[in-house]
Amino acid sequence: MLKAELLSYHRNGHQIFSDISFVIEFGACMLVKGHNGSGKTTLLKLLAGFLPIQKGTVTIDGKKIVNNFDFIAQNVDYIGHLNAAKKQMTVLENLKLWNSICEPDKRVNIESEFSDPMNINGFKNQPISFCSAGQTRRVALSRLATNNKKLWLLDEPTTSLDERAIENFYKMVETHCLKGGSAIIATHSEISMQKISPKSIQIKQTSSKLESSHLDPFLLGEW
Amino acid sequence: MLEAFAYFKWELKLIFRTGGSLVNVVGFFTIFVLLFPIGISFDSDNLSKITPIILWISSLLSVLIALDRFFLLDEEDGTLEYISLSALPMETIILIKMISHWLTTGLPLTILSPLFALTLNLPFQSYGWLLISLLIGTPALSFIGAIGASLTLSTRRGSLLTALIVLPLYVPTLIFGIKLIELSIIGESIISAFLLLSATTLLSLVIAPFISAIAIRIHWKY
Repeated sequence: MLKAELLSYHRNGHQIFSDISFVIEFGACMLVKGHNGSGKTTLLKLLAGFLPIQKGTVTIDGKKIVNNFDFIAQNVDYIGHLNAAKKQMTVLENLKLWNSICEPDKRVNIESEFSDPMNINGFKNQPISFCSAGQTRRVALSRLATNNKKLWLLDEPTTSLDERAIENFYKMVETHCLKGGSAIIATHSEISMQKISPKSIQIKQTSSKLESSHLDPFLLGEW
Repeated sequence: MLEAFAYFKWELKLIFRTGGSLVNVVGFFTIFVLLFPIGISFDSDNLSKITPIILWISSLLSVLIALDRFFLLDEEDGTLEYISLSALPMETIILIKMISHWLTTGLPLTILSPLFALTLNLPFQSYGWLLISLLIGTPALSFIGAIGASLTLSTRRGSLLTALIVLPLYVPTLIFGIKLIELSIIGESIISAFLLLSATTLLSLVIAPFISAIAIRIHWKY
């Protein structure tokens, strides 16, 4: 169970969002909605530990995640706007690397045991530089299936995917949730899943400017 | 351990496949060093006095030009973020990157240096010490370079800024590295310079991964 209580975040003198609370059980899926710039990406980055939690608490199974990078790494997988796929390497090499450094104990033999939910088998020996944007995205999303993390944080995962790939992607999320995992998906599009019904939270934009005394990193102890 | 090795292999493969990075460093070093015998008349006395200085400054600058790729490429394609969620701690990742950086910059220069020392009239008894000086000194250039590269991540193409941060920090390595060769030329005991040079390298090895990891996490905030 992931529980977030009263999360607030400010950056560069602007309050990006304030007092967001939610609970997500394992086996469930949650959509994060909101306008451009409302802080969906920031929220996911907070949960992934890339940004410090300024106010509020986040716990996974009752354990706080603040500065607990090992614990986050064991449980959380994150696919952001960038695909983190190296152009010089082939699709298979990229997947193999991520599998061997993310899951050193439970390695998947990508050539034989991999279930291939995103249907990348057809171009697996091609360098990423020859792949289209959609194909590269599919490779990035395939990493979710090779790693065995409980919580998926996905930032607009369906960007540049075609209809069939989007369908495959939501099937993959469904299987993951039915197996007891969960996913938090920031998205603008409507989602059609048959077996589970995702709940959604709306992030409201609060672009209030903060007083200058709240900005000094020394006063805030952020240095 | 296995995953660290897998990442190390990947990092080396990536550097070789990126093409040009190794050639750039070695090419720059070659041309830079060879400019000196052309510029200074081939007077064996004058030239051999400054040979250690030329070789050390050339390797220092060659390592410096390879620094801007250190974290930037990984940051630009999202690898750095993703890799922080792997089973490897950030510090280990940076350590592996530092070592592979040295293997593709400092090490080739060290191996080539006797060849260039020949064109600069280095006395014969000092060739071994030249190799040792560069071998234990150049790792520090990559290690300290990692600190500079991580601090300038948010300026994107901040290679000049990296140089401004890193070059003053290279001074101890430069002093002890050159001193070691000079002492061997005049035939005195090199032990103090050797120990201090090793100490500089070991100190930078110990602190660089931690400072860089903090710098990267701070960079993500802005």
